[in-house]
Amino acid sequence: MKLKSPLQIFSLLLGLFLLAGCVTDLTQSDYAARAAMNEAIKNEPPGNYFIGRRYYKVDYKFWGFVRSPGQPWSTSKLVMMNEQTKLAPDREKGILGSDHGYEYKLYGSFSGQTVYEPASNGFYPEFVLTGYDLISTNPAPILTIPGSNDPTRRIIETPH
Amino acid sequence: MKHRAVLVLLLLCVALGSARASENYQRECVVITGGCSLYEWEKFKAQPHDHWWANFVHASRVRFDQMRQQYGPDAKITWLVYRTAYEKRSKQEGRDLISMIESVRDAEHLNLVWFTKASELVDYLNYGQDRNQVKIGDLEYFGHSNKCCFMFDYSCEMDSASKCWLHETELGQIKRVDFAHAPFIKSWGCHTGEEMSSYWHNATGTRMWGAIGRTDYSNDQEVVLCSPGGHWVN
Repeated sequence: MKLKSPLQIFSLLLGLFLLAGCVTDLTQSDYAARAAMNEAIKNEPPGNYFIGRRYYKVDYKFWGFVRSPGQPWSTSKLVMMNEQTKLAPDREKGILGSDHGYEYKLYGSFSGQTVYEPASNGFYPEFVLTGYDLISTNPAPILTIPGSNDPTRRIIETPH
Repeated sequence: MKHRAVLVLLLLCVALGSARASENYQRECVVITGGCSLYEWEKFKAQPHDHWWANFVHASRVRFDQMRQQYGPDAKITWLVYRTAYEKRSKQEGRDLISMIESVRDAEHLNLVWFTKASELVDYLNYGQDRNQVKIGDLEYFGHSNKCCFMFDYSCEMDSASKCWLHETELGQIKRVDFAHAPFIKSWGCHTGEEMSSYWHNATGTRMWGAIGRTDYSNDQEVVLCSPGGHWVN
């Protein structure tokens, strides 16, 4: 195919750009796992708890994503964890980031206060942790942008 | 017509000059001292901050002495200190740091104003004095900072984060009328000159000296620049 007009070239570039936006790290099995996860979320019993997904970044100090039971990950919030009552699992274990990607049942509450995280120059809600139970060390992926799940890369993605 | 324009210009200059000459307000020196971190959170780092609780307090005190020499023994000096951090650090140190800070106030004859929220700090700057009568001629900050933000709390409530801060996007809360003509303003914190000084100027119309790079409070006599190529800008 010969590209003759600027419009054709523009269309091709636009197509490539949009295609690039769709690139993900997910495999077919990931998509299947995500579908199963979304079904499972619908069946989560309501209660006085939250679901958390550890999102560790070497350079940033936020803890990860927290959502209410029964709600999709797109409603989750990236939080700063207040550990004054209870240390987060990895800190308790003594190896920060050792639980990257793990999923937890979290007990505690949003304090309603905001925390400034200087490394990312970001503002995040504060979650006061009082307890946790490990749900899975290998849950279905909730992030799709290549590299965003890499703790060493300064990419912050939110589930959608 | 041309002569009239020149005359108007001359009259304007004279009017402005006499206005300057009649600046009959009092000048206030304001020193803001942020809080130190806790070992409880810093211990997870290879190089923990704030081994000495008085990093910022001591640096402020050194500056008070310089201010007395510079502005005279009767200079009006107000010291704003982030209280929450020193209350918490008191528990770690096993001694009452609040009363130690108050002893500095007494020794240096300062107007000590504790604050626990950034809004209390801003309120003092705007309304703590009658700003028609008393204007800020010198304002300096000692504490944790990055290029965008003064962090009065840092690693005191949670690891490497802040629950009390003044961000560059919030500087518009400070009223321009608070300041005297040509005030001296300086942040002794890390990285302020890299971005925040510019926001400060846009927000307040005054110039703030800030560091390119990191600053080091471990020198007993003064805060020094410690990054390669570091320098002060305003």
